[in-house]
Amino acid sequence: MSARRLAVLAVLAVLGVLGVLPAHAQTTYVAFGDSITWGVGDDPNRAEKGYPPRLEALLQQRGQTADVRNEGLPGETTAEGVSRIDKVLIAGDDVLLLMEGTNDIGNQNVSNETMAFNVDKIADKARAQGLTVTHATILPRLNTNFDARNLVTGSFNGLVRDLAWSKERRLADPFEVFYRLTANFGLLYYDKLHPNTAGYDVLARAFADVLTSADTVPPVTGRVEPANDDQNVPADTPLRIDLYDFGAGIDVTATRLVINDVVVETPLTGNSRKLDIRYDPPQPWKGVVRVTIRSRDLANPANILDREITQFVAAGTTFLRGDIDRDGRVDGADLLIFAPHFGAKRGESRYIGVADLNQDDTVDGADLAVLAASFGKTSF
Amino acid sequence: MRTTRLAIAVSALLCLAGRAGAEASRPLLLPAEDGARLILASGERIALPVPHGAALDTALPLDTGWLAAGIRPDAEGRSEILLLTGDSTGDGAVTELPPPAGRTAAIRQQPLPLVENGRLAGLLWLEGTDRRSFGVRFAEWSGAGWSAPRTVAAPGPGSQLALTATRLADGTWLAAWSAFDGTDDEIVWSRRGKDGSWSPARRAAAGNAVPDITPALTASRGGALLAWSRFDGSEYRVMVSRYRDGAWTRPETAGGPGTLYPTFEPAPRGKVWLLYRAAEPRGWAVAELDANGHTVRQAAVPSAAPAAERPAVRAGTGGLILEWPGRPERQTARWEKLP
Repeated sequence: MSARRLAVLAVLAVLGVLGVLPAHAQTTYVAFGDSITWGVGDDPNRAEKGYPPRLEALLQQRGQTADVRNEGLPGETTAEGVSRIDKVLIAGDDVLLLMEGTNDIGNQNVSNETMAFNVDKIADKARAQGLTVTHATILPRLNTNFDARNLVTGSFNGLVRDLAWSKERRLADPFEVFYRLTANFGLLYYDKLHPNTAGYDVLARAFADVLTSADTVPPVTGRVEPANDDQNVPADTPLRIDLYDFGAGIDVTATRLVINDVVVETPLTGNSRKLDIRYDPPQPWKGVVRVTIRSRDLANPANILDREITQFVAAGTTFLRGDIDRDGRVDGADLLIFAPHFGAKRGESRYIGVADLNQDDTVDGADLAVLAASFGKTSF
Repeated sequence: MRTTRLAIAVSALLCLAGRAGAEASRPLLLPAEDGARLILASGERIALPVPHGAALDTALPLDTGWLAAGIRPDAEGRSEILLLTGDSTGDGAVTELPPPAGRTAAIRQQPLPLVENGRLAGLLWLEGTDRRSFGVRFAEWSGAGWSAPRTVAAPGPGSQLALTATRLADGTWLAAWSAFDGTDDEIVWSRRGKDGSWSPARRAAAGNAVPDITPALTASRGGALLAWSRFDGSEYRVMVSRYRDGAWTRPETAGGPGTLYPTFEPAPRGKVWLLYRAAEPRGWAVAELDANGHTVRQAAVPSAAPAAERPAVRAGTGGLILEWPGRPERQTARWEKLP
C-alpha cells in the first residue's frame, strides 16, 4: 500500500472517529404493529421475539447493515396506532415496516376502509419524519369464529395493496406467503392469530425478500368485484379485478381470465405493475360463478398465479337440497362430501352442517334420502 | 383455547357496556372451558352451553332473569343469531330462543336486544351477504315469538357496523351505527316511533371526509346523548352530540387526542358517565357529562391492557373504581374538575 493511500485512510479513520463522516451505512428499520409484530407465540426462550430480530439477522446475512427495532404493541388497533406512531419514531430512523389491522378485524366495529385510512395516516406520519414506508398485508386468521374464511382479512389486504400501489410504497405480503404459498399454513401458528417459531421465521423472510428485492410472490389482487362469496349478485354486474405485482412486474402477455373453467377474452389495461381487468358478461350471470386468473410475474424464475380469485352467486340462483358443493347439480361429488359424515351428530367433530340436509342435528339415512331424491338433477 | 372461549373473551368485554344504553346490574359474561359463564348481579354464576363456533357478546337483565345474545353457525354454516335466556332462581336452566325468521342473506351479526321495563321487546341486528353490505333489521318480540323482520336500513354503499340503541323517556327507541358512504364512515341514526315504524336512516352530523366510528347512545333528560370517535386530521377524538326534538346539536369534543371506543356506563342517578380509551399513553378515561353532553369532570387511569379488555366502572371513595371482569386488576381514578 502506498504512503499516500495510507495517509488518506488515516485521515478518513480520524474523521470517522470524530463523527464528521457517517460511521456506517446502517439502515434503521422500525417494525410497527400489534402482537404479531411484538412476537406473541414465539419461542419463550428467545430473548428478542417476533420477526424483527430475525429480519435483522437475515438482512445482515444478505449484506445489509441493518438495525430492526421492534415497536409492536399487543392488542393495538389501527386507530390507536395513529396516535402512537409519533411517539416511537426517533431521529435516524429510515424505514417503517407497517403491519396492523388484525385487532380491528377481531373487534368487528370499524370498516375495512377506515382501517386502511388509519394505516395510511400512520404511514403519512412516518413519511413526514423522513422515513420511507413498507406496507405489509396482515396474516390470515386460523379458524377463528369471525372471518374463518379470511374474506374480511383478504378484502382489507386488497385495500392495503391498493394503498401501497397508489402511494408508490413497497409492500411485503405475508398474507400471500402464508395463505396462498404455504401448503398448510396452520403449521406455522401458535394459536388462531399468532405465528409460532417457524411462522415468525417465514414472516421475517417475507419482509427480507422485499427489502432485498428478492421476488418470491406472484401477482396479487387488490379490489375484486364481485367479492368472494357475494350472494345475489345482479346478473349484469361487471367483473372488476385489480392485479398488482410489487416485484419484477406482471407478465401481461401471460395473463388470462378464466370464468367457470373457460378462458375468456377481455381487454387488459394498465401495465406490468398494475393491471385492470374488466369483464362485462355477454350473457347474464347464472348460478355460481368461479373466476380464476392465470398469470405469472417477470421474475426469474417466474412466480405463478393460477387460482380462483372470487366465487359469487348470481341473483335468482336456487340450489337443490343435496347440492352440497353448490355446483348446480346433485351428483357423486356431493355424495363423496356427504359419506364421511354419515352418522355424525351436531357437536361431534365429524358433523358438518351442510351434510345435515334436513337440519335435525344428525347426518343419517333421512339426509341420504334427501340427497337421493335429487340425484342427477340440475338447478342451473 | 377453544374458539368459543376466545371469541367470548374478546367480544364480551368489548360489548359489555352500553350496547343498549346504560342499565344497572347488567350480568357479566366470561369465557369458560365448556362455553361461557354468566355472573348475575346477585353473584350467582350460570354455566352457558355455547355451541361450537358460537360467540356470545351481550348479556342483559330481565325481570324474569337474564338474556344473552350472540351468533352461532346454523346447519348450513351461515351466521345465525343466538339468544339464550334463563331465570334467576338458581336452577341453572337455560333456554334458547328461536332467532327471527325471514332471513334475507347469509350473515346475521351483532344482535342487539331491546329491553323495555324488564322484558325483551325487540331485536336489532345486522344482516347481509358480507361485511360490506350489511343492512340493519328489526323484529319485535311478543313474549311468544317474533314479528316478521323489518328493514331499518337497507344495505348501502359499504359497511354498516357498530349498532347501538337506547330507549328514550317517551318509550320510543333511538338507534345509531356507523355507515360507510363511499368516502368514509359516518354516524347515522333512526328512531322508532310510537307506531312501531323506524324513521329513514340519516346522518347525525354533517358529512365530512374523515372517519366517524363506534357510536354509543344513552337517554338523557328529554332526549339522548350520542358519543363516537372522529378523526381530527391527526388523531381520533371522542365527540358528543345531544338529540332533542328530532335533531342533533353540533358535535363537541369530549376527549383529547387519541381517544376512542366510547361507551356509556351505569352511573348514579342523574349523572352520565362516558368511558373511553386513551391510545397514547394507554389507559382509560371517564367523563362525567351534564344533560347537554358537556364534560363536568373527568378521571383517567393508565392501563396496559388492550382496548378489547374494557373495565367496569363504579363509584368509589373520592373517585371511580375501574375493574376488569375476570381479573384481579383494579384501579382507582380521581375526579378532576375541568376549568
